[in-house]
Amino acid sequence: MSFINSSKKNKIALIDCNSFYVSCERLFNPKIINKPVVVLSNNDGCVISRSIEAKKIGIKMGEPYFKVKELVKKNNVYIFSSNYALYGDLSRRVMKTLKSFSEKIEIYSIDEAFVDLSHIQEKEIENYGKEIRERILRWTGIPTSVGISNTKTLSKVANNLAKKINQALYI
Amino acid sequence: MAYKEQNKNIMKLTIPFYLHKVGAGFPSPATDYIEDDIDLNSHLITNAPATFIIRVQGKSMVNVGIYDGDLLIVDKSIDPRNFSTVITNVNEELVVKTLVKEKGVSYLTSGSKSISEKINLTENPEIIIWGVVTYVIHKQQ
Repeated sequence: MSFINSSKKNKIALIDCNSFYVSCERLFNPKIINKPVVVLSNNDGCVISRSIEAKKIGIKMGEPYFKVKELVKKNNVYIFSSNYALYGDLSRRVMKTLKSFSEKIEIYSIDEAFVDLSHIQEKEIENYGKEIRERILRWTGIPTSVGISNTKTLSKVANNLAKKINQALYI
Repeated sequence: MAYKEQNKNIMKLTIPFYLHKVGAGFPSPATDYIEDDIDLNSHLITNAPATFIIRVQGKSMVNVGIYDGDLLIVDKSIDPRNFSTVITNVNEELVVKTLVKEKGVSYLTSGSKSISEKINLTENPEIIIWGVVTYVIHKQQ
């Protein structure tokens, strides 16, 4: 059920976990930090999560594994089968951490949630977004992007831009 | 160390909690009234989303009473203090160490007094404190 409405006077944050499945694998495996990492879908069919390093090599989202095998070999990419028990657990932790900021949250997918931040002053809001990122990273080890705007759609746009500059953004 | 799935089905398992503290020598017979039921989850875990249970592999920390197979309750949200037991990344692996602060410099040790085994955190900025161990669960028997 959606209880966060888009309106001019609202401020809605979209919090999105960066390369979520890869970040989950990295949490207990420091060896693969700063290295190209890819997580495959069920039965190791397709690429469903890529680290920044894997993206730079040219591995595309959703590509079948057999198509990227050459790239993987050449660049020593770390490959993981998906571990949904782990991802589900960490997703719940991220959402619980978000709830420590506001009860008004709407879980959008395993790695995304909208949070109503209308009560936060405009001049404070990017700082607040920064705090959200820091707390989630500290408590759960998962890096996130935070985009804030007046509507859900615009917060998605803000999130996209926030990802590029690697800081919380209000537009 | 193996990741232990936790919080999935938080089980409410309570055992009677005796108010009387057990002396290290002789357990007082005055422990015959029950104060309350204790829920180990709420007793051992203060911040659930930031708490992980990690199993120890190896014997490097026996000096400080941490043994192979013990379970560690690790809280990622709290700040380590001097002599905190911490989880940290050394040589691309998660390991258990003791954090020691001396004259403003932080070191990691394995409970060993030898300087050569100390890891200086200022000289190794890639090493981060992953979490702080709040409890050790050790099987006695």
